[in-house]
Amino acid sequence: MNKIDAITRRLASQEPELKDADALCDSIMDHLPPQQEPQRYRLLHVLQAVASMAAILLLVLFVRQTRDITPPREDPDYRQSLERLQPERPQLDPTIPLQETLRQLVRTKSEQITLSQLKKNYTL
Amino acid sequence: MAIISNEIIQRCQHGDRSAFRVVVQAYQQMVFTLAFRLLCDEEEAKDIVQETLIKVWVNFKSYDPRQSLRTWIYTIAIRLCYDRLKQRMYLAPLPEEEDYFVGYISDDETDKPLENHELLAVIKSLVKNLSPKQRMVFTLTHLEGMSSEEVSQVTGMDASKIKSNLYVARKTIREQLKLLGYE
Repeated sequence: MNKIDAITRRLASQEPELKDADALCDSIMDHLPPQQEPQRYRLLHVLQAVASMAAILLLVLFVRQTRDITPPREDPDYRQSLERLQPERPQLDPTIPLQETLRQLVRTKSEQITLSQLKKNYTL
Repeated sequence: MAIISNEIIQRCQHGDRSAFRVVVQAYQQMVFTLAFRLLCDEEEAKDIVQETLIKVWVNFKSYDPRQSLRTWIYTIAIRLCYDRLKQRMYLAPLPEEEDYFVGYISDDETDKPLENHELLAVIKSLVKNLSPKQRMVFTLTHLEGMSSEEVSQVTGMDASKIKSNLYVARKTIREQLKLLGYE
């Protein structure tokens, strides 16, 4: 047997003495906190909490989306829908002279419209 | 060491404190010896006993009774000791402790029981040049008498790492003994 083994064999056979073992035991018993649930149950609780948070977040997003009635002006869909809402203004045919057009328009008495009204209602 | 029955274990898992007292009484000496040998400090070893057994109580519901209770407690204690070893500054033995160590190793025949401070002096001087990992593997193998598989189980280290750490630890101690005129 070499020196290291001889020393360690002797050391291994000697146990240190734990003084005041009863006092240490009492101290441990006096400081016991509540026990923890096993890890799988803790994981389940974490998953439940995450699911609840996600549900609340979705609900908040949904409510915010339904209440938001002012879409951005830059939105092309919004512009198109605005144009659709505005009354259509008839376009003049540029190939027909204006006088001819007026004549056609005021042919009957009931259809008499002043020039200013025409300018107002038609895009010239 | 008393053997803890399945009934005591089940009662502990259901939060029975009086049953846990039986566990504390059965294992506090084992944890103290391990921590004493690893940390070479009596008061720190007592702290480890307290921390380990409180951790055992807190996590008792997670304990799988198919595993050995002794190994489970050992694993918790070793991890706590290893954390302390890593954290603390190098603790060199005092000159008188070195002297005691020289006297101890020169006398192979005597098996007289040592006082705690004498035992500390010898262990501290023996492992003074080892890293925390080497110290842990050396102590578990040579002083706690564990097999390589048991060391692997309680430390989480693989067999090759245990072997290399043990090899370096033994080499370091052999060189130290050579300097003292032994080996």
